[in-house]
Amino acid sequence: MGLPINSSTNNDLYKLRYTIKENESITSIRISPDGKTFAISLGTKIKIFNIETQELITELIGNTKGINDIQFSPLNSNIIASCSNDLTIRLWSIRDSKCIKILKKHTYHITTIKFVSKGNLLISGSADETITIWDITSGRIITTLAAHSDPVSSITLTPDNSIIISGAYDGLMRLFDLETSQCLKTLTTSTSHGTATASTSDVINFPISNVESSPNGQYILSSSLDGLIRLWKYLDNKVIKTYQGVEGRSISKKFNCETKFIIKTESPLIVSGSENDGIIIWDINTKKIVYNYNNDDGPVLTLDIYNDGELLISATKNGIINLYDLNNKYKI
Amino acid sequence: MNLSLQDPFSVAKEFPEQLTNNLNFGHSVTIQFNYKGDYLASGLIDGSIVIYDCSISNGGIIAHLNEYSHIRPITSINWSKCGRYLLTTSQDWYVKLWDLNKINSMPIIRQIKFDGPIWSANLHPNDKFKFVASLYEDSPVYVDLTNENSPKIIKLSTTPLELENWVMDGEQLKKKSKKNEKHLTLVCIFTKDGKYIFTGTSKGWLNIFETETLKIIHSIKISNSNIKNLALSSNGRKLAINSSDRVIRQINLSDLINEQAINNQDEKFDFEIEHKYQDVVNRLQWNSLTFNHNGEFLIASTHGQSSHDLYIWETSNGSLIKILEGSNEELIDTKWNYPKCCIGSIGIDSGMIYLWQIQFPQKWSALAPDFVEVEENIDYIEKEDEFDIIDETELNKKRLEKEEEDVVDVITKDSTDARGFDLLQESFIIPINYEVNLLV
Repeated sequence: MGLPINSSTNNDLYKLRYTIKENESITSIRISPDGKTFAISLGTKIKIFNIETQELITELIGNTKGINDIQFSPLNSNIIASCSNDLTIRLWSIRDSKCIKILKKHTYHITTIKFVSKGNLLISGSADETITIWDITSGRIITTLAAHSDPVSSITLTPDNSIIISGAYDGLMRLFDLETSQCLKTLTTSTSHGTATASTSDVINFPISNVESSPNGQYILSSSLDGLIRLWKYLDNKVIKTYQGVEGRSISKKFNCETKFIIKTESPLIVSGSENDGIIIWDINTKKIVYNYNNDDGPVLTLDIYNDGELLISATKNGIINLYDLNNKYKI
Repeated sequence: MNLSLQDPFSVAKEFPEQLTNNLNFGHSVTIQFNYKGDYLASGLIDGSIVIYDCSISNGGIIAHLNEYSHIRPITSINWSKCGRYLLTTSQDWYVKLWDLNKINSMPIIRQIKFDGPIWSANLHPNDKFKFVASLYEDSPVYVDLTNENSPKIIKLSTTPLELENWVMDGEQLKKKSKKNEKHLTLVCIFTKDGKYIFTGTSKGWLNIFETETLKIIHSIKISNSNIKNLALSSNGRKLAINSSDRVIRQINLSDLINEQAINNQDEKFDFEIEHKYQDVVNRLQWNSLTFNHNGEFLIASTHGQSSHDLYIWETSNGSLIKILEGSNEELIDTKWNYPKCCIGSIGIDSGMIYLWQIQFPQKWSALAPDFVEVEENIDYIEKEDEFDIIDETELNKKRLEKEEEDVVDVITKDSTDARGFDLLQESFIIPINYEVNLLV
């Protein structure tokens, strides 16, 4: 059902393995680090499924308001963290279907969380415009970064875990040093032509809806609500690639759609969810769309990959989960 | 990656100058950074071990190993190169080898009990099951724990080579050997490739053993009093010897790794004392010493209640270049975290770990992308086209066209960081027990 966009599109790049239908909008979908299970958050619940058998393993219930983001511990597929509009971050043991820790401090909806790769720190971004770094073993707050002037929408880490990259609705991306908590850099698309003379009303920054670090940590992929995705070489403060949606349409102007890098193929790709066109995959260098899957399932808000893109899983606002396998002939 | 965005002058600094943090989970008596510099193990006075995360400056706690641990103060800690195993020694007569992958079940994979407290141990650089240890009032030992049920323990001699020969030569020297009974080995270490063992004795002798045969191949009298510590630089070419005669002696070793070039045994260990470090005014003793990553600097903590400092010398010309201050108590164990360029030391009274780290100035231009920091006032000359009104869409189109040319590599990682340390070195990640709550 992959729609060929032009003759060079590999419409067999991914093969749909199965579809699961839920009744609520899915805000976050994650594959566990061991690749055996996946988790979704919908409403106030987290559901864990076996990836092979599609069987529901357990439901984690306890959050009192909607869950915005979930993350598996990178070290332990039994541990998952959730952040919610009820102002809490919860740590869950999947085996015991039990909440094992509650972290509270944010004063407004918590929009996004990330583990560092050692699994001992959790970084959370919130609509209260701050980013907080938590030490999980002690439950202590290491620091709070007064990061933005609008809700923080997304955070990501460079693979060496030395830089936290945050994107927010104020249209800025900031890079923070994890070790010292200093702000290292600020990136924005607006140009006030090299001077600081432009008043704020002159400068329109479209909200940043998602940020993702490249596998080598030298580039940042940012999605913003002007409907474009940009690839930044942050050392030079420069956008080096801009990606457009199907037939030049916007990718998403209303929703935060997640992106990932796929490096299991010969030329590296990026994948993003979109508002109206399902999932879209681009070649990084040519910027051409090489794959598009659209079954009118609603906006694809969240997606995840496993093993550099061998598996791709996506979930939509209408509650449709799709699992795709990378076609063997494109693997390297 | 963070370093490439920090102030390059601060990144290039070779040693920290400011006390920035302290870690105070329990009363620490000995510390050790792992090879990659991302974890710090601290041995406590109650015999347990705390592991800190060095990726944040004020040290999150990874684990507190208090089950199965020692019951008396820890005397030394060694990391394996891969970062997965820890060798700990204690005053409770035990040496324990920990597998940190089993941190949440039964982490001790080997342990061995001696007939008394252990001064210190040194792990073989390439084999986690082999170590040398100096024991209290006993001969030093070489231990091979490869076989779980029958550990090999071999006692090493303390008597220097020359004296041993005399004893064998004639009866009248028996007296001399009696006098030698109180001659003890206080410290022993492997060379960087594990081929030789250096030991220091209570009478100022440095003995060199060949690891393969465990025979003394060379002995040299360094001083007249105890040799308390030995420190080797990480390239293996510099040896610092701390003796209780208040002098640290530095010896330049011959190239033991590429030793084919040297045929003659004697030539190989033909030492000369390169520098002597001492404080002749205050007549201070030194508690501990360590080199930096390339052996260009040597750092030592001072003994006695009057002084609370760390001295840093340059090893090429032997000059004192900096005294690190900030703690208000005597400092004991001192270690250098090479990749992070951080010095850690322990206060003797509080058991607090003090950290000296390089501080980076906050660049204000980092907060606003259209601001530039200037050193001094400049007369700004407006560019010809600076306030021209340019059609944004036209500009964007041009920019998009230019984008086509750039080829992006999102996969290849940098192999070294801004300080030149290997970034691709794999190191073990210690599991986290998410269900405990460590109280800080």
